[in-house]
Amino acid sequence: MIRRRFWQHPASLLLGPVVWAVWFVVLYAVLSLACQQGWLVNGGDHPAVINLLLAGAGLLVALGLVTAALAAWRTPSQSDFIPRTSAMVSACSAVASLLLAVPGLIMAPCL
Amino acid sequence: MSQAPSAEQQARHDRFERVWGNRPGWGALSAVNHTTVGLRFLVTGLAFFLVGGLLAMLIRTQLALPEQEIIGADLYNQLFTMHGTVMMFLFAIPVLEGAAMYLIPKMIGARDLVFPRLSALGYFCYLFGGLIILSSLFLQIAPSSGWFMYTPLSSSEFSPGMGSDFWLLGITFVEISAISAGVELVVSILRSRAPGMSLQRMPLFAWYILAMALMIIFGFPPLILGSVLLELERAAGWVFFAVEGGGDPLLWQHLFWLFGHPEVYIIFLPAAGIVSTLIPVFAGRPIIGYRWVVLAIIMMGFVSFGLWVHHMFTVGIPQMAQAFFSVASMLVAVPTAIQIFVWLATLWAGKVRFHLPMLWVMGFLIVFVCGGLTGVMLALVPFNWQLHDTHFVVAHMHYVLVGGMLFPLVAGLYYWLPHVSGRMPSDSMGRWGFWLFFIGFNMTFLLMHLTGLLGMPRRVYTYEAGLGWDWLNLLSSVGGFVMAVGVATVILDIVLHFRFGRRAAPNPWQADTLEWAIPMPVNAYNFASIPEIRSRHPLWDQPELMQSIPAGEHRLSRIEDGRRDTIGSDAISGEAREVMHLPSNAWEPLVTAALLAGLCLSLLLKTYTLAVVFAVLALVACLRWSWVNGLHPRMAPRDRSGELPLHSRTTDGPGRWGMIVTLMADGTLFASLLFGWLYLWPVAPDWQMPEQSPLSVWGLLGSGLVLAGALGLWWRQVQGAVSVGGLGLVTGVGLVHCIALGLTAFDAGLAPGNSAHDSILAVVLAYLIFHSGLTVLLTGLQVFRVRHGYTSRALPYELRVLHPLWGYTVAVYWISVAVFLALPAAFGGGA
Repeated sequence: MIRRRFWQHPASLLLGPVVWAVWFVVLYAVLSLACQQGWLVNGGDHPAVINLLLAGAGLLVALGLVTAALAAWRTPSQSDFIPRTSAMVSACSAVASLLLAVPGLIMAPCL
Repeated sequence: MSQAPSAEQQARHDRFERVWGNRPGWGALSAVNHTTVGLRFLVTGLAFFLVGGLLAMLIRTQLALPEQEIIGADLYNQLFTMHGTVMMFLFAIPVLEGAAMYLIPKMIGARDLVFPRLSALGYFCYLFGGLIILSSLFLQIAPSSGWFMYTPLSSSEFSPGMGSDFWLLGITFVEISAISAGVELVVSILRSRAPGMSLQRMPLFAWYILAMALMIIFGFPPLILGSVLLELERAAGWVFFAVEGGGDPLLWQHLFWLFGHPEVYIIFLPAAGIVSTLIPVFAGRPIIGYRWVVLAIIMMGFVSFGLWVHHMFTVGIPQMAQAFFSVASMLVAVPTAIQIFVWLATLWAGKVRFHLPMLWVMGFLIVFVCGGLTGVMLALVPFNWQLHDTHFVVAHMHYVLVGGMLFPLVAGLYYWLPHVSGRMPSDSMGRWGFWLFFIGFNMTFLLMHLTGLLGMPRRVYTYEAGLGWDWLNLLSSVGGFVMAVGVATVILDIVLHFRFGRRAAPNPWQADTLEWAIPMPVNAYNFASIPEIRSRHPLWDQPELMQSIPAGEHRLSRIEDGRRDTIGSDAISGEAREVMHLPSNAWEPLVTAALLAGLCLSLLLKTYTLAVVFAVLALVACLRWSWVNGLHPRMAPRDRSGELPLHSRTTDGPGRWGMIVTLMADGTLFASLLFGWLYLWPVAPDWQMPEQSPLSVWGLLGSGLVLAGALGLWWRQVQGAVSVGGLGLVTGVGLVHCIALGLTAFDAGLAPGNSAHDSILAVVLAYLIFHSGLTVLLTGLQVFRVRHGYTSRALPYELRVLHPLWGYTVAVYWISVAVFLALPAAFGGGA
């Protein structure tokens, strides 16, 4: 088995999209549960605590992905194809994760 | 003109053809070679395309004028259902799979796909499944609920008769073909590239096909599960989608569109791969932004799984959820746009030669961009609400699918025709075909946007005069017929070129990819020797390959022990790791597919005893298949040592990779089942979670512990203690587990006809019993393999292949116990 550091491994290409996908599911599931159970929804008024929490979590996810992108970009490698592409994919995923959090911020929950 | 081969090259060619060639006459049905199978997929797919096109013409004839009664409402319903079904399931996906099967080994420097018999099985399943579905039309009992078979319309109450059953069973049968192609392509691309072809040197087409194949692996199982559940509901009265009893019709929509939306990208990605291959060739320069394209492919593959709910914006889901899916639907435009800009930049920077394939590429760019823009419009929730189920959606869909798939496909067809026939297509006739098709297409579907905006719903067999739709529909129909003339011209051009086309020179388009290093017309073995690749554009940067490959100057230039060989390489670096020996022509795929077709037909006719007979025979055929594999000592003598080991002497060959990829598809099906449970539980209005689970806790725990014990014993075997007795013991303990699980299921007294809860539990138990039984059966087979010397301590390959299945079986068992027993006990009912 040839050993490689994570950012030189093709699996790193999938990190950003996987985080985005998990974030998508978590966001949708948490909001559905919160609405069903009446947690942090402030009676449905806007902005509710859940709005701010989701927006904050979205920001954290995006920051995490940006950090990952920077780490990938700076990885020294014989061939920069995998690390640089991973960095770009992670950066795009950061933007996508942030965008996904926007409805959670601007819309009243449980509509 | 093609260069005449030297005597030595001709002799080498003859030796290779004897091993790799197809048998003559009826024996050709036993062919497993990827070139033959790929071409069969393409030709069969194009035949289905003509059938689908004929249905479209009938639809347009009916809609040409208001208040027509040429076709009655019932037949019209069958026509549009079959048009969508044929075009999506029997044409678009299989044709692109066929193109990928034909091209991928040639592009990556391999002699064949890694599981040739699986390709052949996939083809025959596709052919038989397609014929079964199509036969319903000629028997006038075709499905009529639309190509997405929404419940409750497709339920036995509202769609009595066999129409929906033809669809559900036929499509499930055809999907075997898609999944097998997915597994085949993933493993082949990752493990059989020519030495030196690292991931970053891989042709973009291979990246696209890799993404497509992975999307098939994750995208198709939800549809397979949905089809099985709906057929169980229709045939056996179980409850999954009927509200009374605790089901929910929206579960079908979720399962269908979980498959259905990624399917659009499964169709688009290979077509985009064709565009990314052709544009650099005709622009005469490398593509600008190779890395950006790879990024776009990865992003598109993922994001396309997060859009499915935009098909369901009007079903009453919460607005916040609609907003999430609306954002995701718009996001997917970003990777698409990246590719469009990359293509435009490459054209801008190059010196473009506008040969016939480029004309179709330009048509693609225009039509697909229009379709993409209306897609972004439909991602907006309020706009979607207004236009839902109108002709606007039909027009958008055709702009995306015809623009995004058919135009690139025809471009690719013209581009690779010389490769197949050794002759060039006619330029002038081809241009006539293009313009007729392009004008006819836009006339048909551009106007359909307007009829949609004017409020014309889809799927109505006629309409009143004076609604403002009359002349638009008439022109649409005229456009449809112009388009049909364009298709006929293209087909005529292709047929005639086989006889009258001028002979093609080697590499006639001055392409950069490896398939053009193969002498034309194509041979059965692709490469007389397998070269070392040092560039992303091998034929531009290593032009000597055109001569050195047929001259046998590279690896594997000799036939060893009469077997078919190709090089297995590292998935990342492309370094050569082993010699893969591949099976020769075989009847097993045809026989197995025929038996599965018999199973499908007997289920359709509800002759269940016969179905059991066919199932058993199919199982026997599979066991025979598994016994007669490429590891036969005659083909792979143990005392022979070469530069690279044979894959059967390693522990990480293609079989293991194939098993893991297959389990990924299987796991997706299982996850879809979990989704069904977790969806119905809180959402279905009549769902009942019993206070006490009908399953015996002790029965499940006991059976699970026996399974864990069997796994421990199995582990010892895999770690090196291979023996007949040891494997026999594993089989025996596994059998005890199966019996215990069967008794627990029997003891539960489930009533699946009464509640969705019991129906899902019954399906889960059947799933677990099937997997445990399969694992035990294959382990039992290993007892005999050890006895006959195929497997031993020195040859642990087959055990390593089976190992992930053991892990998977144990994992799904305990996950099932947690989700279906422990979770309700904790949150809903009691254990």
